[in-house]
Amino acid sequence: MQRDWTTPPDAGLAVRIDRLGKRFGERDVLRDVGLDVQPGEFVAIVGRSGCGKSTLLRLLAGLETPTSGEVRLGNDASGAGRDDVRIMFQEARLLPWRTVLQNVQLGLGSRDAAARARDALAHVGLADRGGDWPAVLSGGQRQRVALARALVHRPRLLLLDEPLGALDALTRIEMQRLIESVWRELRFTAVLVTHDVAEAVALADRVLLVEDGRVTLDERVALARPRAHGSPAFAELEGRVLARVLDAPTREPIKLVA
Amino acid sequence: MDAGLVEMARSYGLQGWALYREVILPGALPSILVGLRFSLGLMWVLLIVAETISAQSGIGYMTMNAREFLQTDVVLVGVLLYALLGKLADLVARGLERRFLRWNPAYLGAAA
Repeated sequence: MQRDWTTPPDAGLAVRIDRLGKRFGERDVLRDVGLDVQPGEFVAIVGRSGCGKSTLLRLLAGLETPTSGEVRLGNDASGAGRDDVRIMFQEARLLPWRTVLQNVQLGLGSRDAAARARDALAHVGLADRGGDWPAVLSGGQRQRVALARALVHRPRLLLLDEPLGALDALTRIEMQRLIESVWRELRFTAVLVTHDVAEAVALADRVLLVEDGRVTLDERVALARPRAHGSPAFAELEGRVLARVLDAPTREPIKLVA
Repeated sequence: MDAGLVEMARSYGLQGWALYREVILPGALPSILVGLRFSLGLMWVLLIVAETISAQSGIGYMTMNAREFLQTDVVLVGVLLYALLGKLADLVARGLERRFLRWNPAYLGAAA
């Protein structure tokens, strides 16, 4: 089932979410979320922390099961164990006891696994670090290894759970460019969860805002790529989305006196 | 054991024995080896106590016997023997740590 990693994939996977709900104990994290993502589209989900955006992504990855509603990827129901859906976490989550190259090979059964892993590492600019332990890499390099580990499976849907959140500003911009370039080359569907509105506007075709367990804003980003952070259109859109995020009404006023 | 790593490995299709061999066992190994070193030390202490109190043979018995007859040279040999065995066991445990925890930042560069 594994596709050759240098040839173009069968295009991205369409994502269809229908009346999705997720409840943890007494708390409704997501309520009635509906969303359609076209194959090959880059969607960014922004929102305040705790708004349920990460849960939405984990539901897409099949790491959580929905309380109500359903997620459909392509023609099939979602579920863990699909080899064309890959997730990148906020931490790189590399196995420290495996070398960089062995980490990228994780889950690859085929005989040419090493060659494909080397290819993927070259793609993220770490061709010469294959023999190193993850412990000696910088945070940005670890995330690049994690990206290579996801790409080597030729995902048709790549889920990014704030993968750049812990990186410094310069490394982050570098990683954004890298993610954009592999996305343009490989045309997978990408869903990025982030709290950085500028990052969302820089990368995505569509920016969604999740608030109180619902999608409350669906903004198309029509700017030409590659996008310059300083351009007026960029700044205008970023400002608009940011204002909308900050404008979110607080759920309940705090009562100081009973 | 880092639950995040297990979750990551599962999402990459690892299950059952493969998951255990690639993720869970290596993740638990540092604790296992610390336990091994600790219990080796305890083992020698208990052996010495047992041998000196109520054994009919062994190094401890020999040393206690020699003490009765004021054979200081034999006592000294007994003590040195214990020290040597203890050190040897510790070296073996350390060797295992160096071999199996090469990836650990604490051992990086320490082993060839």
